[in-house]
Amino acid sequence: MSGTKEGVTTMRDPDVRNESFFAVVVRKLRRNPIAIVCLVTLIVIAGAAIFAPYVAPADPNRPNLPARLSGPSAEHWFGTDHYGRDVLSRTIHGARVSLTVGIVAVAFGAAIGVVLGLLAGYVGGRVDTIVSRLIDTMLAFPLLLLALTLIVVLGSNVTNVILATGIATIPQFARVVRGSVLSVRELEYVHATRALGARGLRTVVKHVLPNVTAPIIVMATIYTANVIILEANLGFLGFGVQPPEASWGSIVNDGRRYLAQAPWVSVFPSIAITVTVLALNLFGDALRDAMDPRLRS
Amino acid sequence: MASYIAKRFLTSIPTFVGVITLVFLVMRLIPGDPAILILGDSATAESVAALRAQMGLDQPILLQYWNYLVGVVSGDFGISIRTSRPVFSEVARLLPYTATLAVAGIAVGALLGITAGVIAALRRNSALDIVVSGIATVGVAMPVFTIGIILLVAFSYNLGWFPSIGAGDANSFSDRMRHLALPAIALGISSMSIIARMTRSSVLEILGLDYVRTARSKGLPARSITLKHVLKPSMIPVVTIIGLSFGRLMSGTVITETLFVRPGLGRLLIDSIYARDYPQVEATVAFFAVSFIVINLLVDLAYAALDPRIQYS
Repeated sequence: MSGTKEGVTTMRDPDVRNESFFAVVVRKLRRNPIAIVCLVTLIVIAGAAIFAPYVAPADPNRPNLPARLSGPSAEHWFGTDHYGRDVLSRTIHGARVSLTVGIVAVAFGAAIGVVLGLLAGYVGGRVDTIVSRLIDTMLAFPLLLLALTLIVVLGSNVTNVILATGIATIPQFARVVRGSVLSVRELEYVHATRALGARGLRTVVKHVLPNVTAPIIVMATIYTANVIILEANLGFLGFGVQPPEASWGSIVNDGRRYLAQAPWVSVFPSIAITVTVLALNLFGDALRDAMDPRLRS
Repeated sequence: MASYIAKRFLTSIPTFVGVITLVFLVMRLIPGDPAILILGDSATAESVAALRAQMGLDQPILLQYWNYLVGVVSGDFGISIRTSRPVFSEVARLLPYTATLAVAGIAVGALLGITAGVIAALRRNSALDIVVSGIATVGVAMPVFTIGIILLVAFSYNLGWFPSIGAGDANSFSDRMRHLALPAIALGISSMSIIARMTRSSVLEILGLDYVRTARSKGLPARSITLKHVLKPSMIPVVTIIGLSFGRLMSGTVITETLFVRPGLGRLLIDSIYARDYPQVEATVAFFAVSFIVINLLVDLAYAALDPRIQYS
């Protein structure tokens, strides 16, 4: 464990002296069966989402009233909803929206959060005070409440759901990056680059950013899961994407009024959310263990 | 300690002001004239102007902000468009329902989570540990509505043990408890998972410390070591997690109140958004955020009671 102070580098670990950081992480992940199972699960779900029109057995929006609210069968594996639409096909197509929102919103939130965190942590002073106050204020709102309030302002459609959930994650990234920068900033090598004449921006981008990448990647994985749940909650409350577009949360919401007669309409997309979030959380944990040698016992 | 409470209280003030300012600004960003939104497109110009004047929308934004701040301090957020009652009295009327649900939810979560976490830690790597840790991991990944739907379908629709909707007869304690059970368990299971994971790792850490080994070596019974020497110090991070999970819990009350059609602040918020009752939305969101700040403050203070090593200076 020696030589891994601050958890910012594995280069001093005797096992891995000649490998790049990326190669070390991949090697450690390949030895972790849980990580592999999760990754395969995520690839299957993402594959189904990408190729939804070819994978889904039926048109997700085609009504078939005679078959409405029929239970799982050979023809409709996940049953049908109140319009007789195939729930399996809707769940597969819903994955497109839910995953897109999860990934794009986190990319957006992380990009802005990282810049704010770097600024606050590295520049310090008044910039830090302003950014930290903003972060504290936004963190004082429970995540769903913040996203819901933003949706009220923006209106419900895919782009705005992405914006609202993305903005809601900005303070989380900014806080973590700021903390990491504060610890990296005082390390000797950063002082050395400054002593050698590197200017502020160059030091931040070339020397500080790479060393806060590991926590950002781990957080992005876990926050993708959180945003998928957040989007599902918005959809469940009726503030997600609007028909005919459907996400997992909005399909659950469609089935809410028929829970007593046809629980499958809500239950199957709920299972899809749980499996995806579980895989992302466990993969995120594995990634953290692989990236941070202090946590490997 | 008193000076720490005062200092911690003072440092919450900027966040408090930030939160209510953010709510004010965000609500002003809603596109369209609120008066037209309320009265509809067919309203006459005079009636729109009259409503704008009544709502204070014809004043400069800084004056509106000042009036808003004065209103917040005096508990007067204006009149609800939907119910024509003061918005804060709506919040006060429904608060007991949500507070009961939240407290019951966190109680279920803490009871189940701490018990499961302690058992898993004391029986480390046993089958029981694997089962408990597995349930906790899956529980974290489940949205509250999923847990609620499973409980509703199993215990209400199929077994008929609990009612599915409403808060019950206000005059009957047992009826209210029967209505509270499923929503509270749904919220509790959601918090339980995180609390169990934190308790397990915290107890494991304390079990490995020297003073616990000393207690064992001087022949103290295992039960007394667990209860007296391990549980109390291991609760410090657990209290943090319980505090942090209040945010999740508040979001959870919005979901459970909607799913179980219970009266409460969460339902009030959702119904007000649908009705475009913005004064009510503003007051409810501000109330949620301010309660969250207060709870975090209380959590910070709870540390002192648990850990005499923590010095507040």
